[in-house]
Amino acid sequence: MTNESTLTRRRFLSSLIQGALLIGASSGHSAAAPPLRSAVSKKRGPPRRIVDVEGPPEKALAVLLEELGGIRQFVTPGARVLIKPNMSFPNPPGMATTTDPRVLKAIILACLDAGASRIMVADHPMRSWELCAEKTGIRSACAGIKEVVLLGADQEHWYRRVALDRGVELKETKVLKALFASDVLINVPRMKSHSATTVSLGIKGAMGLIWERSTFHVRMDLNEAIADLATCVQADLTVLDGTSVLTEGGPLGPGTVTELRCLIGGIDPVAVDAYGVQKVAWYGRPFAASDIPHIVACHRRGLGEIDLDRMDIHRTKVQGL
Amino acid sequence: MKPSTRTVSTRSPHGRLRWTVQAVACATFVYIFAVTTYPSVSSIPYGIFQKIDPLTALAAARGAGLWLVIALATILVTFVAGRVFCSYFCPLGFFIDLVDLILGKARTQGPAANESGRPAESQGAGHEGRGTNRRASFPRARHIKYWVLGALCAGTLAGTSALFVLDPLSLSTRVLTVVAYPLWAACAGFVVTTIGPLAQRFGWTGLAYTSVSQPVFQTALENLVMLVLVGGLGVFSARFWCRYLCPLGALLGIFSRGSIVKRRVTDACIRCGRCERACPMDAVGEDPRTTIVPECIACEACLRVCPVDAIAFGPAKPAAGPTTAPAWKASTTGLSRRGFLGGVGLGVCFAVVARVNPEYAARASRLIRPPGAIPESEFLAACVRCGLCVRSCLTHTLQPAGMQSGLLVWGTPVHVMRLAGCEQQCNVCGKVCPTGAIRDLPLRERQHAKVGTAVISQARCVAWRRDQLCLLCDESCPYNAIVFRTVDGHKRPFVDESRCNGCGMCEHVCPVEGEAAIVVYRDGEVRLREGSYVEALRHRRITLQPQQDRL
Repeated sequence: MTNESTLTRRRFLSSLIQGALLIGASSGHSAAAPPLRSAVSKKRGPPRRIVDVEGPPEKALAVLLEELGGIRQFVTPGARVLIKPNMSFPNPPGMATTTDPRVLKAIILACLDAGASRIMVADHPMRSWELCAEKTGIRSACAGIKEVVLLGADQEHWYRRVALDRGVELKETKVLKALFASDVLINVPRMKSHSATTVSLGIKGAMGLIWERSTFHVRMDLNEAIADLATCVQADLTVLDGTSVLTEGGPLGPGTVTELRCLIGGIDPVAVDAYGVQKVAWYGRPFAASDIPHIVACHRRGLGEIDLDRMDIHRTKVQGL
Repeated sequence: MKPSTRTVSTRSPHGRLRWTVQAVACATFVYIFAVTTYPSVSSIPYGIFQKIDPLTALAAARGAGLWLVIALATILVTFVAGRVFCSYFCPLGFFIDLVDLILGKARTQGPAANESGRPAESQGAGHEGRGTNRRASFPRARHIKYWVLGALCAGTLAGTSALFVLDPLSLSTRVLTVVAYPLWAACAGFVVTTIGPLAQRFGWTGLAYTSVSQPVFQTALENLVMLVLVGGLGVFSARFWCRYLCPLGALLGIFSRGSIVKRRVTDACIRCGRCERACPMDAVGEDPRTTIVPECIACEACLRVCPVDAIAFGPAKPAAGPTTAPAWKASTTGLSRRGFLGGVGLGVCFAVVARVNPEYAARASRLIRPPGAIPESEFLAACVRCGLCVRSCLTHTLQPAGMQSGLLVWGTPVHVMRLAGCEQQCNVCGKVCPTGAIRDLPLRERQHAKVGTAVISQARCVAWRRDQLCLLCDESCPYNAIVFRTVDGHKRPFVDESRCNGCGMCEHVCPVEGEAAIVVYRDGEVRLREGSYVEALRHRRITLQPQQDRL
């Protein structure tokens, strides 16, 4: 006979299950998912302006943001910011395959200055995440800032399925959940060459925010699929890290690294890329935006400008080390 | 004869001190195991528990970097204090003791239990009371472990360490790697993903974005079955594994024969037989004053249950007590020379038969070994199948070889590139290998330790057969060994063999389902017992460009 008040195994198990159900129900995993918010840019700031600043990264970034109307254009007090650097590979910054930690840190500090409440630095790494964070120097760039969450999104549960209404090749894909829980997306790709897409700049870099990427290469027209993604995921601000550029041997390197010492920023992601393409010679020869199929595809879809004459280009140089 | 007035029941036959030492030793073992991962820290003695095992030293003697001194220390301790290794330090022994505790309770709760329906509280409760470890005794089966030992030693010296799968430290490490570690990750992962959304709600972003990646290992099932068997044999008797099967126990038994500290029984013995029943190793002779020394693990269970304090563990001349005559003798029935020699014979047969033509076997092997693995024939002798390298592997491309590769190599580390590539900035496997089967190499050397060569199957590759713009292999290659040439107006991938070191990143990312369209084969691997891989590749006119070189 068991006493009513004693804890029997059955009672223990049932309370365990009850507790689990309670946690499960309150966690919002199930039916009560929040409505999907569009991740497409709100296009704040001067839409046609492209800023190209040469100089040391911290100073160049300050000038760049100023020319675009200040970081407060994008980051309002209390805003949740998602910064998407390139940190796919465990390579040192000198190889120019991942975003320079100095540039990243400068952007983080600018966001903090504007009053961001949470800054997530996220990418879907191609290699062991721990190693990528360490070798790229990005972990140390983020260290000690309590608002920053560094996320190597290497697990499927961080992504959620999204339908792409305007997709031609890509009808749906799994996008980083954090994107939908952010107010601003700042894309900070490294300018580098890419064996499949010729160059990898801002638009191509957005592939770091989705889960299944290999299908782009196998089942689809890669360039169109990248444009499809751009219909859904567009950065509010793109800053191309051109401190040094991997002009050959990308995306992983090792390859030819050209010191460019510049940052290129703008609101229109297609225009930024289009400007970035002609900034430097790739594979030893000049390229125009019209030579890059995925950029052309984006333009054709009306996602942005590729004609340099129709851009408002500000080129400046700042002194410093 | 009545027991003394002292209440025996307060003293558990196991002893608090022993539990404590065992728990601490086991915790240390698990802790060192847990931190055996990237990045390696020079202050952590990786593989120390494996190196304590003198049998491991036997394998390492043919490899490199042996810690013979430590292994000798274990033997020395055994010379002095008997098989304390088994009773105090062996993690598998601790596991078996824990299982025996449960099985022992179950035994006493059987139909023969007393009427209260509860386990007997004290030793005095009857013959079926707790501490009755001698459920079944198979004295002749003790010889088996000497056979195992003989076969293991002979096999190892003759060139194959396959029987190390039965070494208790190898076994415990392997089980931790392929069973306990994934299990832990699954539990931790479940907890983290369950509380993640809650944490996010409360604004604990750090916790909300924590995750545990789930490792998967080959041979998990085999090892689980082994573990269940080793523990489950306790149904028949306490420490069944240690009594009858353990090769390390057999080895230490040989050395404990002449140990200084032994079980001594004075004339005060009343021959009540409690020690005999309490002994987990069945090491008390027919006459309870005698000890089958090689079997005794000096756990002192007998001492604790003795109602008249007639038992002591100490040197031959007890300092105090009524010592009319040392009423003990080392029975030799435990140690079987014949068994050992039989085992040696078996091991030699095994080694000879298994390695019919070592050169052919090594040449025909399809297994891709970790970078820095010594030449295959020596590797097979040096690898003790402990799986520490598998545990430490950053990407878990290293897997224990499964049954499909044959029993002879079962449990040895192989690359499964389809699961993951080999991270070129990581050299942990060589750092943790207790026997030097995988060499401890600096990064630059390790990057030149070519493990194989990638081969593209044009019939499977989508860039070849469907003109798809799939360049994933190139995108992932750390050495730029994939080159594109325009063939029939389309970009087609080729492998530049002079730049490939077989890291397998390409095979891992290849989007073709099933077998990849680019596969790493062993062909072209560099296996050096000593010397520089950089030099070796220079001779072959292979110029790898690891990433660091570019800076």
